Amino acid sequence: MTTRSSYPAKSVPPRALALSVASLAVPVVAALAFPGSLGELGVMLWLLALVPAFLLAYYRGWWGVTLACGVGMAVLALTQSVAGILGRQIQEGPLFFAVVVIYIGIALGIGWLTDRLSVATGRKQIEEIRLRLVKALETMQLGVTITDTNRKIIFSNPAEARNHGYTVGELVGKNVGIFAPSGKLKPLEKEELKALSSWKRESINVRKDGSTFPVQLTSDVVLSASGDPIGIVTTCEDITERKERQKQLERATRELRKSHGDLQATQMRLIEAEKLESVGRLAAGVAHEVKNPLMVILTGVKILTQHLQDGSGDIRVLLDDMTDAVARADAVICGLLDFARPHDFELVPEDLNTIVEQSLSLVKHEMDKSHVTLAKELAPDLPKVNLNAFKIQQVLINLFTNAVHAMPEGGELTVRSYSRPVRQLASNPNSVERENLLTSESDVILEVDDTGTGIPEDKLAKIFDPFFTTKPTGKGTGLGLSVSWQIVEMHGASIEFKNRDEGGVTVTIIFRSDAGE
Amino acid sequence: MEKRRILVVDDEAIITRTLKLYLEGTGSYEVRTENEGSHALQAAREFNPDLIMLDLVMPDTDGATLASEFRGDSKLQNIPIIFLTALVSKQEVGAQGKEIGGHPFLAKPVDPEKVVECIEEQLQ
Repeated sequence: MTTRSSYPAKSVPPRALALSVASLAVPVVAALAFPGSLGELGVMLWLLALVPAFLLAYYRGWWGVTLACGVGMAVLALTQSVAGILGRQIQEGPLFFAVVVIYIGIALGIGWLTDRLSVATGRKQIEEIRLRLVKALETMQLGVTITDTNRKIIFSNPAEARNHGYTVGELVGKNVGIFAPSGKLKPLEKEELKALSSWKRESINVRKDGSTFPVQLTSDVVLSASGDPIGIVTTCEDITERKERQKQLERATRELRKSHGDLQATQMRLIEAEKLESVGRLAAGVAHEVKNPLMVILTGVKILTQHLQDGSGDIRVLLDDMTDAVARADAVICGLLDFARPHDFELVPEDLNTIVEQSLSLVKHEMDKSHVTLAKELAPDLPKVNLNAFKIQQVLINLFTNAVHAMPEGGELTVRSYSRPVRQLASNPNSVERENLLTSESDVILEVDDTGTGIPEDKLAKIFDPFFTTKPTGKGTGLGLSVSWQIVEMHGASIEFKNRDEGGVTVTIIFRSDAGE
Repeated sequence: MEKRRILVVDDEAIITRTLKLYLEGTGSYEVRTENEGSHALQAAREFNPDLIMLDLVMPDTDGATLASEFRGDSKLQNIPIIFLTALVSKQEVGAQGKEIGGHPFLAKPVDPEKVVECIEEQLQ
């Protein structure tokens, strides 16, 4: 906001008005007392116009007008007097003359006295206000600095000086750039100042000892009564604490958001684990009950096969199918039990690339059959990972087989491995910020890309569900990925399926390796 | 050639019945079946088998207990034992390698030809 100076403001005091009215009354009373003078109404009216104008001008401080009115009245009185002395027809009697002179004298006297009185009172009030303002500015906790348009400090309150490590005396007369890291500030042009009018900003100010602190500055251009910029008043608030609180809040928000995310992820994992666990328990119970009947069927089929006559080819095929059916049912149950009891394995430091190679050799035949080509991007010198080679091989064969099945018309299977150091947020007590610290751990990542059909987005969430399969009946048990998921979990690793933009799926498994071992 | 005598102990009658049928069908074995675990010792003493097949989990007893009872019997202690089980996890059956307590075990459903192979191995 631009501050327009209102000092010294003048307005007609009510008593000036009263005096003007009184000055009207005096000649009217005089005219009534001396009826002879009524003939000189013209002069009277002139007086009537002169006197109020004189008084009004006097109180408004229009000294030229006051003088003119005064001289006018004096000349009038003088003319009347000279005419009387010379024995000419005295238009007004000497009494009237005397009245006029007395009247002018009284009016001037009252005017003068009132003016003196009013100025004195005004000065006293102004001085009081000024003292109060200065006192208020000096008491304020908010720093205040007033500069002229050349940016020279003409006033700084103690808070401002204290905040910057100066005394008030050291500041007055200095360029206000003493507070700015950039140093001296250029004077501002009138037009510039007018355009700026008022501005707020956050900045960094410099103390006398060179240290810095964040501030909130609000500047207003001060305008004179005529509207010209005469200076700038700036309040300066030290916002170190506010900034600190803001940072803490931001940090807390960030941490909260992260823990919320972690919590959600954990919850999802727990739900998933619980789901798989209950299926596992159910499977274990069912498996035991089913295995005896399967044994009976298998033995029965073998007995029937032995009793077959030569030539009963169809029946032999049928019995062979029954044997296969029993084997398939058994495979499903074994898969379920695998799933129910994945815990019985040991973890030892292994080279992931070796396991990848072994697993690839086991699916090579199937890949060749489906015209799937292989691209290997295995990083040398991968850190060793604690794992169970047999179980991870089971997972990899599963993934490779799925990928090949997703590319019935051929395609490319890419297997990629690499590692990256693990960064961890650690708090440093000497720093406001948390720092990213390198740990001795690294992530060992295995990615399997295929160029197949991809997984419909609505099915992505279900792929780890037991018995969820997109393969034709009899082609898959729907347990492969459930078991794989569980094995990966048991390794403290993670597995994720993502559709690739260019088509197909990328499976990412992330193992954590402690390179410090 | 004299038929070898096999005692099959399993609480499921359909298992003992079909195994008996199969094994006797080979012409090499004489099979006696027992569905009550608690009667197994008595049956073994009477039958004097060359080999005993034991179901691991039965309602009234379990295969491992029976095996130790056989071992404690001077007459039966040297008779080879094969376990049959519908349990799958090695931890569940307390297996080490392919054996439980030094006896081989077969997981149901097992191809009866494999049963015969295993019997022959044990009888040698």
